[in-house]
Amino acid sequence: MSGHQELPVTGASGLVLGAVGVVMVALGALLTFAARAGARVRGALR
Amino acid sequence: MPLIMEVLSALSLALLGILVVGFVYGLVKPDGQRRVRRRLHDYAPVSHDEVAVLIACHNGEATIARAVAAAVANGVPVYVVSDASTDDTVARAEAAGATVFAQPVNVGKPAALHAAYAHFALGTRYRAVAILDDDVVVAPDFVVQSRALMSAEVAIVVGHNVTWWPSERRWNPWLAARAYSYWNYQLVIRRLQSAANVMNCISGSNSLYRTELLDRILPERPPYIVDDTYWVLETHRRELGRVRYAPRATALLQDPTTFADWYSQNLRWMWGTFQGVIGHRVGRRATRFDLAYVLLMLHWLVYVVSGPATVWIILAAGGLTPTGALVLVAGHGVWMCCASVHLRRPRLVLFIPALAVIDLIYRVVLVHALVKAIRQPVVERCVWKSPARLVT
Repeated sequence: MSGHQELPVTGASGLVLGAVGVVMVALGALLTFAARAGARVRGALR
Repeated sequence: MPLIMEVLSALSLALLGILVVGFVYGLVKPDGQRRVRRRLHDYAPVSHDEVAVLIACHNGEATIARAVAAAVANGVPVYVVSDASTDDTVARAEAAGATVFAQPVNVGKPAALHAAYAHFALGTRYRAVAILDDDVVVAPDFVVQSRALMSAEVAIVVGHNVTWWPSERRWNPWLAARAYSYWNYQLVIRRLQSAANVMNCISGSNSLYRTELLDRILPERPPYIVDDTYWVLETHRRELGRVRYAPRATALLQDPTTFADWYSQNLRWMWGTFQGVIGHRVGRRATRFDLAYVLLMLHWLVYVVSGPATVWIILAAGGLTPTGALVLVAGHGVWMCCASVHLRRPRLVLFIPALAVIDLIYRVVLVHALVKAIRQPVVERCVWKSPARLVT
């Protein structure tokens, strides 16, 4: 009785997925950094 | 040169735009904006003596003793339900240290688990139950490693799969492909999904579940051909807790060794997956889980379409040149080289061409499974024939 389940992510599609993931994480980090900077400036202006 | 300058200028502008948007948002967003993370659940801690193992088995005399012995080595009670076995399953499981419930009628794995769960009153006697397959050999610290990740919000801890690849089968391409795909899948998709709590498929063969969860999601007859697909979708839909991956909770799995077994097992898994997508209406709700699942399905679409597209490009180019072949296997090559180092299986590199072919066939499985799920979105009985087992 086997009940486990996997999907292969292989070859080029896996590389593309990884690259897209890295770019998305980098963009997210950049946005967060900029938003925090904006919030700090707002705090300083008060 | 001018082209490079143009690309660099465009990238710089895009980055500047992102920084400006983020900065302005931080500057003008209203106060009290910090979102308090909603806790899904606040389950009680699980101690080691509050864990049990449950194994369903139908004619598994070849593997059950080793599976039970490995589970017993974790220092927890092991329960086995024999699903109307006609071989020596019951005696071997008992001899290996399990408490056995012999189900008289063959009802299939989910119904057998359901019956044993009630028969042994596992829901009232334990806080967590590891459900294992009868051919799975868990590491001696499987329960310790799984339990370590079962925090207050977590309902399911998913174990780490490793293909059992004995030396007498070292040149078996189906085992090579599975060893590699488990490695790749768990390293990339499963880790990302676990971090975001959007795991769409779990290891039904080696995972730890809270009994509060099993009380609610372990039906006698799941509507899909893969029982754990139903469990995980219900957990997400009913918001019963987080589903987490434990990379250190290792289990050795027996995987198909022939094309027929490989094809039929993958077909069943993907048929069950698509049944879940249809039955649980994945993509119809505005949740992070749905969004992640839709993205995953878009990836499958790209993956499937890239198969015939590759063939078309080869034909349009007038055949496969040596350079073309190199490009074709390059993607697999990079991953397989990493896998061979990480898994300490140097011979994996030799399977790169075989994997490229198997990867093409897998696209056929995906399409076949989708058609099957559309034609048969639910099953009356969740029963299937397992791949042939190697004696352990």
